[in-house]
Amino acid sequence: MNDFPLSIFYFLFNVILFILSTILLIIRIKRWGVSYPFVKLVKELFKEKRLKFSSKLKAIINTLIKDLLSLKRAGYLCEENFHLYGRALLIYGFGGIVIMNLINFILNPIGVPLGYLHPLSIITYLFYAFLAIGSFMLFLRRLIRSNLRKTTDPLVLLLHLSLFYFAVVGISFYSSLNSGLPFLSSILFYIYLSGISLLYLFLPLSEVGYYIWKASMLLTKSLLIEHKSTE
Amino acid sequence: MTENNNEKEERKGKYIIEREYVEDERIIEPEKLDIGGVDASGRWGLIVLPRVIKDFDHSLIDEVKKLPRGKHIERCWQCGLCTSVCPVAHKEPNFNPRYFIYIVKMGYKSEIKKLKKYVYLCQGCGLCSEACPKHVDPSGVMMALNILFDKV
Repeated sequence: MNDFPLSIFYFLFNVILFILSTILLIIRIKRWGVSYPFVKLVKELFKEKRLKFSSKLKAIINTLIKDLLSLKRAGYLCEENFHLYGRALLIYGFGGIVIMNLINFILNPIGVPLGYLHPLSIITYLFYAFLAIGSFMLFLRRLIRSNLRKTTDPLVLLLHLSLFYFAVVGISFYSSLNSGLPFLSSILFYIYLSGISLLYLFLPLSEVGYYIWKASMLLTKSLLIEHKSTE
Repeated sequence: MTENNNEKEERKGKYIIEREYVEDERIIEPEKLDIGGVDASGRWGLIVLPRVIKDFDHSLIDEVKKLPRGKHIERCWQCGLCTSVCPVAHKEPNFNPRYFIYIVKMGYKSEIKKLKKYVYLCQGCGLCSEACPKHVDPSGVMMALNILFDKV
């Protein structure tokens, strides 16, 4: 479980699925018949003469903090607290898991069990818990509300369930690893991989694909506005 | 003098409901008008000229139906409940889900071009979908309209 090739396999597995996921997203956007904001975004980011690096960074941070982290574009106006907290937990949880996975991979590439009380473990658990609770809250909200249930697209429910599955499997896998149960952790590792695969292949086909497209549009726009203001 | 003119222009037609959708050129508010001894100047003599639209595109609604979560747009009967519960519409009157659906159903391309920057404001809270009596799923439709408006 802890040998080096397995972590390399995990890394390659993620890279391949990331590429597949990107291809799926590009195909989906092509089917919509809209422009690719990613191309525009890259052009805006790397045009040397247009904006200073600090201005670009400011625009990116502004979009990330104002629009995403402060939930400005993700429901902060919603009067229903249950929904707002669910979304916040889901967004922070998912973002945190991605960051913690990268940190864990850099600091602990061999995958040595860190134990339950290691700061990295605690933070990782916390983010998985956020994601599990958040996705379940959003799923539950759509089931409880009768009118919302009738209009909900099944893919939305599937999205919440797949995020919940990923979070639960992630917690189980890390727990088995930290408890020193090699057989169970090796089984759960493959189940965890199934959760990751599900997310990589399903997210670009779900609402998340649309949000990625929209976020890159907003970021491109904020860069253009920043450019105009400096002119 | 110019400022006074601007003030008059701003005041013009201010009692019209959904005033933001009526262009200034179509509003006639006579400064002085006497009809048989009755003073009908200002808002009492207000006339809104009919809008002439030539760029209808009836294929827009079919496009929306093909986009993700836009399939139920045709069910909308314009009750406006979605807009009344929408927290974004309360902050920004130009964001009006009912009207967005209306202009797409009618195929008002020029109107879409005018309002396209506002459709991105949707936060996807889903309050409109809960309120909608015809199960249109307006929050989903707003997603589809985001994509459509980018193309128009």
